[in-house]
Amino acid sequence: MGRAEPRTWRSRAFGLEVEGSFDAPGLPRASGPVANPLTRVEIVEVERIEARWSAWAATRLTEERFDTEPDPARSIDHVAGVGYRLYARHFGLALVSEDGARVLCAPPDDEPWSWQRFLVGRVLPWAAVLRGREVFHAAAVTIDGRAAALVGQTGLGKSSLAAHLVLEGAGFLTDDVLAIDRDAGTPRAHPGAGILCVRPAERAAMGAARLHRLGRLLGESGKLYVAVARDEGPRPLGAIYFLARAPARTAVIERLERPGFRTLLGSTFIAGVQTPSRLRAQFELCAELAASVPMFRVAVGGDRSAAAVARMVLDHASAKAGPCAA
Amino acid sequence: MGADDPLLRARISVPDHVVMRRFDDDSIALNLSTGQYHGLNETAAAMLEALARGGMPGDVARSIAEQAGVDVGEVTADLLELLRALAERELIEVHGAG
Repeated sequence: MGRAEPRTWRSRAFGLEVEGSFDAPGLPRASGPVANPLTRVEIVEVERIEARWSAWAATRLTEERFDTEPDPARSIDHVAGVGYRLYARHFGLALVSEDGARVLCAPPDDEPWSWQRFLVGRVLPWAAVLRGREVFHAAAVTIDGRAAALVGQTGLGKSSLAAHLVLEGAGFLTDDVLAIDRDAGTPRAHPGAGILCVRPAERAAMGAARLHRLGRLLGESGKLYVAVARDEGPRPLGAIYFLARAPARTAVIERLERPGFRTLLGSTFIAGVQTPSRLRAQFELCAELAASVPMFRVAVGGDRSAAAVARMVLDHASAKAGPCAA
Repeated sequence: MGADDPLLRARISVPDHVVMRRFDDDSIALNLSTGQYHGLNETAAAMLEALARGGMPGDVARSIAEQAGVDVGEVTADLLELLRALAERELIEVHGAG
């Protein structure tokens, strides 16, 4: 008896309509008319990607080395007219077409939630930029129907803060990568993957009951990966909160009076696409965000729990005349 | 040099590959061809905007000197230095400077 062909599904993430036919726990199914540029993802063997690739013509855009291995742990290369080759050791290989409309993915033999950390954490954001979205290194939640972005470098607590905001009643939009665009001049935040990452220390602080309330555990690899019910977007962007380290016993949210244009530029998630059209779009969006979206600095000492910071942010955002007030 | 500099009678334009936005107290210009960002202080931004509107450098220098109540020679020297720096960075095009 023949094996049934997997059904093709459609999801929305990073401002894309993502189409595929493989198990994707972090990409909830979408319904209704197509609302975003389409990106089709196909699972293939490595050989098929390499057959399309002209290594001799490739320009290396980025590489990252974390050990003394001769080959980099991650790399991104470009061949004009072919596209972008994204590689991550232990996560596989992907070829993104020049316009971001098509992705060939060659994952390792691993659980979908595990190898798809690469798909949702690097490949689809790259495709989103090629499709005209701008992506930032940020988590985001919805408060009273408006998006609040949580911007900061790795390790500052974006995910923990997002998790506790969700537990306090905020809607979940995205964990590590936030896609933003404009609709008739209004900045909008798009949902990302429906997966939130919980660090071991936060898991201990949260406790089993709250972790269970947050969502379904997908797997664990140093950190926990939790499938979280996601708000379907996009949502108007109500506020941007920049997370900052501060001395102990510090807990303050202050308005940034000077536009955070340079900070926003520095928070871009994809620096490797440097085409004039992308640079112009990124510049103009960051300038527009700096001019129109309230921005705040959240400076909290290490002695404050993520739960306490979440209550501060929630109270601030939803206060009467707050940036996300209904 | 200075008042006799042919650059003062040139026509200055901002090429299509440059985008600029003004913020509270500075401006940022992006050269799309090179991917380089450049910061301009308030005075430099005002000079560039006046030139982009079609003002000749000599006239712009006189106007700024008059508004600010400073010596026109100083403003002219600053403007010439700015123009050369902007041209070197391909943020402006200079026409008819001889």
